[in-house]
Amino acid sequence: MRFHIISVIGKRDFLISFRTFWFYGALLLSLLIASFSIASYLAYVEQNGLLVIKNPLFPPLIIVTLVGAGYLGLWAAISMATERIRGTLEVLFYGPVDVISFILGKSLGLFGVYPLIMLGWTLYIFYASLITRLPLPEHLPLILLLSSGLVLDVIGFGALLSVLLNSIRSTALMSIAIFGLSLAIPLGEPFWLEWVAYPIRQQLSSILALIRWISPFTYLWQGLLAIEVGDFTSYAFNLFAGMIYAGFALGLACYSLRRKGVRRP
Amino acid sequence: MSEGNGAVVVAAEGLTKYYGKHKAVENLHLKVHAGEIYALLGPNGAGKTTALLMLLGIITPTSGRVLLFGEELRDSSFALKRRIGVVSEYQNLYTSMTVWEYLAFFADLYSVDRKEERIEYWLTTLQLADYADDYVGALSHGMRQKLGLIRALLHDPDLLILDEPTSGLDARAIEQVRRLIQAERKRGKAILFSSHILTDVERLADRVGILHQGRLLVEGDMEQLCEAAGKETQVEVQLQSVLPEVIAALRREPCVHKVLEENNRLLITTSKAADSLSQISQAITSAGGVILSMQTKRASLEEAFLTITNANVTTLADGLKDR
Repeated sequence: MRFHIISVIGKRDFLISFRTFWFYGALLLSLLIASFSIASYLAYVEQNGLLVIKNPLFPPLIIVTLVGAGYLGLWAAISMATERIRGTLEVLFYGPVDVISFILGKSLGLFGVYPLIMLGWTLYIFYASLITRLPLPEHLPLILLLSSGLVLDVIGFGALLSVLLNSIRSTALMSIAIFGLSLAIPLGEPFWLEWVAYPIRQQLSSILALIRWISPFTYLWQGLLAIEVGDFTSYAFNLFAGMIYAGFALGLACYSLRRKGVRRP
Repeated sequence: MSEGNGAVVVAAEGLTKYYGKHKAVENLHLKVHAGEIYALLGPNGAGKTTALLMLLGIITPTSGRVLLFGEELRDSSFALKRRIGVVSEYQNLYTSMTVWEYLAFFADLYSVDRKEERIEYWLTTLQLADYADDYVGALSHGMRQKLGLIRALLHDPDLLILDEPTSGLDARAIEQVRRLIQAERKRGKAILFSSHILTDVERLADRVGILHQGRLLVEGDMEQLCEAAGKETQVEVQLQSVLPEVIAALRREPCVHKVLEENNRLLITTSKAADSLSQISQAITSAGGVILSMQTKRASLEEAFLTITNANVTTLADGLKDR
């Protein structure tokens, strides 16, 4: 019975996610960033006649992956918070829905959107490779497998935030802040390490280590880096650890929702 | 219909809910049987919604327990929850879905057989068929209320729990909802509804529980409620002619508290003792009066409610305004 409920809620959320303006907004944003990145390569080649770079379509693909995962995490947080705060969650619970089927149904519904996003982006990368003659990213299937597996980390984290906070606005803002920081700090690490004095750098490194523990992007990010350097043991570890993280985040979201109750705050 | 006609569907045993130091519901005991309409009547803030939400497992009681169909309701009691249909006071609908999508979603959740047929039937019955493709967010308050009712009835539940089901509906829709509730009762469903609208309760309920400041003050059918409302009753006696001796004789009767004369009619306020009517008729005839008719006036639910709750005028006025 629970499986049936999960599939009904999941199907509904899967379909509804294509109706939102934000879905297409996120797609457009990642398209623009990826295209800008590719265009900058081409401009460089045009100016200098030569570009020496390993795996040139890898960065645009990472951007697309992170934007897609971030969007789904944010959407999970907002959509679950909306259900709780607007009272539709309470109505679901009048019927045969429990905490686990609700959290899993919503999460898996959004999780199902990701392969479609990635399919679109794979076609885009193929097309970009075809017209620019830039080589396809190495280990593309591994990247897709990793990102598809670990997007549930971000969704699970979004689910947890939605339960912990008591308004849609605070959930949205907190999600944006946490996801933004989780992405900005590791992405900016090479830059700020150069600019910050040693003692502060050490402090920041400790903070970064802490963020790595909490950030829903950690395993996805480290897995992608592992692919880039060809470290497949690290890749497998991050894929596995990421799945544990997703299970933990979703489990904690279920526990918190059960403790907090489904009544609108 | 009175208590005990069908199996016990809802049993609340000593339900109590505190919010901090505020007592929302205290030691609530109630039973609802199959084929019975039970109304929880009370002014706004009496604890009706809290009581219903505790019965549904949405609010955890501070103490006490609930049995639905003889079983304790748990978060994952899927089969049990499928036997319940609920209409809440605020519908809390998915406004970005169409009416049809909304109902189809809930039909799927409840695994309703022949869902298209059921949805069409209810949309037609409640005159929402023309709005099937409209977004829920575009519906009026009354239509949303009806949509909530359809959602509750779609899976043909054995127990209907309705929180202020006619709130915000126009007169025609109220009548339609009342007929629908009565029809479900005839089909053997147990119906528990809360209301502060006295007319709804008077016209629908087999049994009424009056909840005030979280306490169930009195419970019973209309007759029992009016009994409980006071120790006095009014007797209207039509005489051929009112003789002063008759009035004097009546005033000497210990059971008679007050006698009012109006044309050839006497309005006698008397105690509720079983033999007070015979004492009155005897006093009249022995004083030479000729009785043409004699009838007892029962206290209305409104009077009973006022007496029992000693409700303040404002809260009652809210209820009366909605009648």
